[in-house]
Amino acid sequence: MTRACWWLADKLSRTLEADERDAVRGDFAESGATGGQALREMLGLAARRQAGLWRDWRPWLALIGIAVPTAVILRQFSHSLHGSFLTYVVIPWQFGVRYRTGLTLTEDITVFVSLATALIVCSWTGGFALGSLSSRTVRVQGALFCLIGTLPVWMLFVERHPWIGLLLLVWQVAFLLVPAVWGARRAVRRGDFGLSQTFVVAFTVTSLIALAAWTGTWQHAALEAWSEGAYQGRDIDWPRRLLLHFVLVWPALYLVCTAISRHRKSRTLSC
Amino acid sequence: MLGEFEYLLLSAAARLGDDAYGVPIRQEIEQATGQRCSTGALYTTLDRLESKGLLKTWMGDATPQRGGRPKRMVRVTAKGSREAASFYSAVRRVSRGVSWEATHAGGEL
Repeated sequence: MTRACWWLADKLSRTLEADERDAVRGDFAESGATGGQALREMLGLAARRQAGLWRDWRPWLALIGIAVPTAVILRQFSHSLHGSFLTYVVIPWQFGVRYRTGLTLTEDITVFVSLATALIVCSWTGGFALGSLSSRTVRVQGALFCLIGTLPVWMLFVERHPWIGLLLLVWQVAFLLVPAVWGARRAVRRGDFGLSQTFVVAFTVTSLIALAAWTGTWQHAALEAWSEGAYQGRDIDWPRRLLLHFVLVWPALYLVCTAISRHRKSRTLSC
Repeated sequence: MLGEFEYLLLSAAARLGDDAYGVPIRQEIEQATGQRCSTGALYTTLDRLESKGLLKTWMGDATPQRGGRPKRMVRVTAKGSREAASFYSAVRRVSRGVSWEATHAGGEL
């Protein structure tokens, strides 16, 4: 228990500035604090420090402008991807027949790969933008991003179909959480990209989202054709879907704006 | 005008002089008030006072009894001394004619 408390206190101390972290940990050692006392004190200090950081506008912009909307749409992406995985892999494996979506095998693979790639790249970019915009609150932002991105859909399945819920969780961890954490760590540890690299990221994200939005309509179109109009898809057409998915471009857009601003400042200074 | 905890912290740091850093300041405050002083309150108040220019902090030497970690040393500035003196005078003025000692002992005003 004591060791667990020290471990947690140590993890919490990483949210502090390096000097303060050393001073506080030194105080604990000198005063002979127990693990429980250290954890309680560290919780109090970390909470006060976080509360202080949230007085600035940047963490709120990161939360409302990036973390929440991006997580909501990426959750839908990962849900669709999970459905495709069940259709293309689990059903053939369990029942020995290929589920007919009305598309050719090449089209099926294209839909799956474009969705998976868009999910990974958008999650990474979202994490990167969060880390870049507000590095010291990124843990709180990241936790909310992960909760919003995974929990609601996972809870839908976990009671009725536990193994599907577990599979979905693995899916979301692999395609949403890991890239997002990787992106945030990259931003916090190594800083922002240069102007040209940022444009490459923004172009990649936009292209992948457009591709995912376009291929996402194929299945519905195929079903409508197969049913001779009897199937009325609830899906929206691809330009409107694209507009919705443009929320996912916001993080990349933010990165482009900040990169241009930095570039202008550096040019002004050099002049 | 200082807050009461800010005044306590400045007074403790001034009393400790060259030995003013986290642990002894905390002990001074706890002994004086009989109440627990949290690390969070101590370090966030140190930052606030430093940003107001009432004290100065710097990282001191590392010692073995601190697990090789440095202390955050504290020194009250001239401005901090003036502010603390002003607060003390205000407390004395406002307390004039009030018998808190009697109240503390269970008596009435």
